[in-house]
Amino acid sequence: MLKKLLKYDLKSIFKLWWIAAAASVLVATIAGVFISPMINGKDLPDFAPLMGIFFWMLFMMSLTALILLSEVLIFIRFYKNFFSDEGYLTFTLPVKRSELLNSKLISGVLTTAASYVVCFIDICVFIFIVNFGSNIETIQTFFKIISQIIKQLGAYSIIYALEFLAIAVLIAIGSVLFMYICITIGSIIAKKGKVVVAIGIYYGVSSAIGFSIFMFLISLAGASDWFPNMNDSEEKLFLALLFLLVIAFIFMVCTAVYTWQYYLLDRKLNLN
Amino acid sequence: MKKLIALILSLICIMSAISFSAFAESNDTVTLSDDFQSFEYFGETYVRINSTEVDMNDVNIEDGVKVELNETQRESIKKAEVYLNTKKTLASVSLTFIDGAYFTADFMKEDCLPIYEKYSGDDVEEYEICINNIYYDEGVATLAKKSELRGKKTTLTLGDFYESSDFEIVAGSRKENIYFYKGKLLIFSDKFYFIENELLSEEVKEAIDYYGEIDTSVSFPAWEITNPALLEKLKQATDEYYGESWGVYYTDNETEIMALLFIVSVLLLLPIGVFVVFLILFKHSRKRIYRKLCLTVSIAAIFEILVLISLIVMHFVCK
Repeated sequence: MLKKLLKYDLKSIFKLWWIAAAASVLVATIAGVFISPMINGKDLPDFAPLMGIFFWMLFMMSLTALILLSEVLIFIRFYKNFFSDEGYLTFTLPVKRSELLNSKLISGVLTTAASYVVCFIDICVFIFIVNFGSNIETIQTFFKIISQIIKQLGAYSIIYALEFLAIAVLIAIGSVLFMYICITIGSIIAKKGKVVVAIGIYYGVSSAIGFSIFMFLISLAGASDWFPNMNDSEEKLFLALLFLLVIAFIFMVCTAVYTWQYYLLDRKLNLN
Repeated sequence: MKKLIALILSLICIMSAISFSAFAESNDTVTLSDDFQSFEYFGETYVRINSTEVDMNDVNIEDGVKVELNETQRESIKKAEVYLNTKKTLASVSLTFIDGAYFTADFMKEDCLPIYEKYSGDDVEEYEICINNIYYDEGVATLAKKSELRGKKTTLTLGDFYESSDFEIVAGSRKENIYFYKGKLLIFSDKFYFIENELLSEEVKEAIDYYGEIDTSVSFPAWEITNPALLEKLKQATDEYYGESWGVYYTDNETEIMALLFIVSVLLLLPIGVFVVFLILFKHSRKRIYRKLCLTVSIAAIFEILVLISLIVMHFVCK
């Protein structure tokens, strides 16, 4: 049943999403074509720099818009499906609540991941077009740096890569769960204007979390002096453990939020 | 519950094993060993620098003004020490002046990418250590005899300093976001060559060409450092530019402890709280799915605490 739920969730989200994704790739290509002559120092008319700035801004806006649109689509799908009139139908389906929640979670994570993949493709396309022909060394240097780093890290490069992947996946899950819990709390505590309350909670709590993360990073930077003095292999192990700590921490928070979310849907649901 | 306890115990064993393996491999002092390979860093090959080859115009950015210590200026220095390869710093220079003024400049290990290049001669082996600051692209190169770099603290006394030929502090333009405080140059005949990286000088020269005239209002000729007020001004300006929290000039112990407390409270107290709460919920929940979820959260919290403990153990073992 989860597969069917997931299918309809993804269909609903990707119906609009793919247009935005295609548009962003198109914008990246056009921006690359227009900015390329400026980077490569060809003879240009006077208005060229202005055009360059315009296309650069357009490119950046297209990336931001794609990410934002994905968030909005996930938000709408979850809210409409669970807390609008549609919710009565959803919760009378012969499926477990956990399956309903899992379906929403997976679709949300997939959409978020797809958005970031498309953004990455956009950036690659842009860089490739801008550097095509004349500045091919820039791309070569990039790959040289990457291979140099892998060479230096040795086997740890695989461990770090896996850890980064795990962190990325957990952050994606965490961000989607965070959005869902805000919508759920907003819908439970408010009798009118549920969406507004949900958005308010989302921005309020995300600001608080953002500030905490900022403070935490500042503290980490401030505490750089007590970073231990180790040899190369110890330092690599220490770093791998540090990433593992981050993974464990995010995983713990995600499972706690998931449990809370499930509890709210199971026990506190209010579809007035 | 038995399964949970068994899992926690096994996790403790794994973490302990990791910590002890780190302990077994740890080495308190020696970070440079005999097996250095020649190193090419991002396409740049670092070359050996001899004092006879140094052209001051290549490394001095202040309109070619060369600052040399004359006899009087040298006498104003009570003590000069260079520490190489201490626990925290890769290189540290400290000068104590007769009037009590004190100047120190450190290159912290965590802020530098040490690059080693081996030179094998007929009768002597020397190493050049090029340090590139990963945040600011600053670079210095230190050349020293192999025997002096075996993780030992090397102190140069006043007598050694008299043998030095140059001392320099270079200021750039903070306003234009180019180097404000660049470093120092100490050349000790037949002892140490502590010199700015040539690559850096080229970058700085390019910056000067780009920005035009440099604001030299914050320049400090070497002899002016004996003035404590000026020294304080230099330190303040440097702190403002780099930010006190970025390690290079980080000396405030209280702030460091606060940072440590904040990190521990987030990474240790929060999981403990989560573990306790979800363990209670686990005990009282009857539905199977809640028990499963609570158990997962509790295990995740315990795992996080164990990783943190292993990191702390490793930190103290290797300190």
